[in-house]
Amino acid sequence: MAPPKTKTPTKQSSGKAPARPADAATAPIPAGEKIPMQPEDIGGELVSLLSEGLYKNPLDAFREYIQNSIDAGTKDVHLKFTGRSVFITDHGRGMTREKLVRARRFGVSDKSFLKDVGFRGIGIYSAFHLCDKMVIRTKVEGPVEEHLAIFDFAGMRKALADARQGKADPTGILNLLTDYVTFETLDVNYVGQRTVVELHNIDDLHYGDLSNSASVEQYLLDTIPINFEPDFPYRKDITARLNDLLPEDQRPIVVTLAFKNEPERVLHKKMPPDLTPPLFHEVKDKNGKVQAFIWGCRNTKPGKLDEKAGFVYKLKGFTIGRYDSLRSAFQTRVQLYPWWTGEVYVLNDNVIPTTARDAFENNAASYALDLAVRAGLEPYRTNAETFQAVTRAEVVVDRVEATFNRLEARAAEGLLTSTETYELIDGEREVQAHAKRLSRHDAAAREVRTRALELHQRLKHLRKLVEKNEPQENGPKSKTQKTQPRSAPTTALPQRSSATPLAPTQRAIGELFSGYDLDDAAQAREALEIIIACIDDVLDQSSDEYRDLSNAIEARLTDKAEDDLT
Amino acid sequence: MTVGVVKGFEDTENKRCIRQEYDLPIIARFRERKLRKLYYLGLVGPELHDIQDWSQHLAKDVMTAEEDADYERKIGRMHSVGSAIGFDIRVLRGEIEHALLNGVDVDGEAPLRSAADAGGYRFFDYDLVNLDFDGGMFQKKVRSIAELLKRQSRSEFVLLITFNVRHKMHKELNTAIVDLEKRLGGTEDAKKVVRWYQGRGEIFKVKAVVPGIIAAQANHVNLECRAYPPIIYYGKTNAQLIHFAFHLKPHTNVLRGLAAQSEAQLLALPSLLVTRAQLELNPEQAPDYSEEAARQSLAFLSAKRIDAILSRAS
Repeated sequence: MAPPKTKTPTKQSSGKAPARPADAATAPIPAGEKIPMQPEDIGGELVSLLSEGLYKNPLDAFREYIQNSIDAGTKDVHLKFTGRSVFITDHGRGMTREKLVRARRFGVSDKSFLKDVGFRGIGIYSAFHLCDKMVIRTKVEGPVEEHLAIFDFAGMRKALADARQGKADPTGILNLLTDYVTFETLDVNYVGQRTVVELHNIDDLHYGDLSNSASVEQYLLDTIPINFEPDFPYRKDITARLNDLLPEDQRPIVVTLAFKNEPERVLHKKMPPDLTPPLFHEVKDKNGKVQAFIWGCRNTKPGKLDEKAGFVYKLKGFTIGRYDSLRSAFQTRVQLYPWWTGEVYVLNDNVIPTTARDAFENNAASYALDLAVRAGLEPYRTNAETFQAVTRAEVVVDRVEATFNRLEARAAEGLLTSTETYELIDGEREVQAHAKRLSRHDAAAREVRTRALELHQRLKHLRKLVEKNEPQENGPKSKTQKTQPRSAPTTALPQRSSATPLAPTQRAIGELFSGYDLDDAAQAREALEIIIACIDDVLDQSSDEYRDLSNAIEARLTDKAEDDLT
Repeated sequence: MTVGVVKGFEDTENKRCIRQEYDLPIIARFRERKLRKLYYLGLVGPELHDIQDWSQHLAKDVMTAEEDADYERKIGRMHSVGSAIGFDIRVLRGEIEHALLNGVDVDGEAPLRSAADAGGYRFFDYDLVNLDFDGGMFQKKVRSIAELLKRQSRSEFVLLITFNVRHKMHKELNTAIVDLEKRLGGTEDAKKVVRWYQGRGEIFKVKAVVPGIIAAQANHVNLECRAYPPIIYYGKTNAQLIHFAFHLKPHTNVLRGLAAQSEAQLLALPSLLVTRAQLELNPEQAPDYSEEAARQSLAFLSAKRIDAILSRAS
């Protein structure tokens, strides 16, 4: 349906319908009349409100201008703080005068989210509250002239303040950006391209934040796509993988910081020390297209990392949100999350960050991605779980091995006391319990399992040794044994199963199944189920008896498995 | 990328002549002596003409001061020109005198190459200091130069100073001339020379007193001072200017207290003149002028160049 016809209005004022010609006074007012907005209908306050509301951290202005630099194709950005001014220089494509004039627009941008980092057309005003004057000085390759756009933010703020206090008429956004932004062109003596954003006379309120070298550096390192420090051992591996996946314009840039009276320095992403080699994971959609790429390095020691603990989202190289955003992906083992440091590079074009870059806009794509990434973090969680279990087992094995070493020597001399024999048995049980928790297929657990097996064999050997010594108790004693006091306990290891005779009326359990054909798998399974059920009926699972039985069965099974192998 | 003269801000041909034909050889020799590029502290102007002319001998970190009402515009342009030729220009806010007297600028920021000693006194470590004093109180300039010498007293450096004597410094200069006569010992020859300077304009008086003042202050902070012949020239809007160059280095223990040039030798330095971008001997010379001494004081230039300068006067 065609829109209803309307008359072209003449001069109109804000929010009012155009004055109707006298001869039309009796004519009906057309339905659905469209009345054009006027320049003063959108208040200049919008600039102030958005710049302050969207950029809570004054340092966000640096991120916004560096985003523009990256969108202009630069590979390097130089930030200089000197006097009360900040200079952000890049060697990107630069702007012609026409493009620079267009850059002044508010909330409108020629850029596209698909290929640019910034795309909303607001970031250019992110320093509105920070400084009195902003100059954008830009030059394209070739012509020896630079174009300047000079934003008189102090003038704009004063005009808005005057209007608020009733000293002046409210200023529309168009007038504000027309009256307080000027342009000029200067001759230069070089042909190269570049753009400089100059923030002059930084406001007292923000001077402290912006003039703190350490916090500026940390902000940039946390936010901007910057290379790892040269000493980071996995820099090459991770960078190579990222370079395979990321388009060239999303790769890290070189950021140089020249801060007041400090020497100029190139910034590098600092990584925590003592990390494992990276674990990589690609999160793919059902068509096999990579939606996100995860890399993570775990603390080599059990425990959380002091810095950069967890995983953080990266979109076009820029950080989105914080390191703890994905913590819940580790579910019931969230305590293992900060054992990792890593990044999740989002490669899905439909996932859009919020203006504040603290999260993604809520849409189906970001929801699906978040779910997939959380699932993609499972290998990292299980890796940490295994590492934790292996580490704990190693501690126990180390301790028990030391006990064995000590007591084996005593056993060889026939000096083992009964207390000590139980110490050995308990230790071995503890080791087996830990070994049980380790996956048979996990390479990290193999060594511990092998050591546990060795301990089991050593325990068996000790048993045999002690049993061999037992008959000698009634025969001639060794020299050492003779010196033992009479009250010294026997060296015999407890043998609960065969050593205790059965009561006369009690039948052996094995006899109870005489009617079963245990060569038949179904009957054997049924017999086993009956035994298990009876054990559960009779013994409390937290009892010592249950534990002993369980350990004994396990030990037998382990022995059997090892015997089968050999 | 080519480097040339940036349009938009004016330079003068006379100043350019001094930078390129007089200061440059001094700087080049000093750079050879230091075996590295020189760290610069000074007033550069928005187009960085001096940095551009001396760029091959300067380290990339340049420290300047700016206090002009058009501050942002100037430092923006400095940064633009500087980064195009590979220099990092750092700015101290406020008058350079403030930074020299206090060791920090009006925001409390110190120059890049500076460090405070245990007592909190801030020493500077620059190789080339270039000051451009545009009028104002003569004594205040002298005080700030004295403080500069103290702050730089641990470093060997070249000091370039240009005075604009547009503003009247009559009384202060006459007092300084009287002091000078006393220091010379009151001999007849000395009186004759001093009277000659008293009968001349302020620019000659500045020529007479500044080298002596700087040498005395330098000696006071254990710096050995060697002055080069001053140059008189005209700048924009016919401003009368005088340009000095000094080489200062910390005294060795043996030579402490012994000036490289006596007061009389400093006074006897010939004055040079730049007109229409030509460097020449000033036709007006004091009675103590000697060609031999003039040749000696210009020894950092080639013999051919010295001949050309001295012959132009005749």
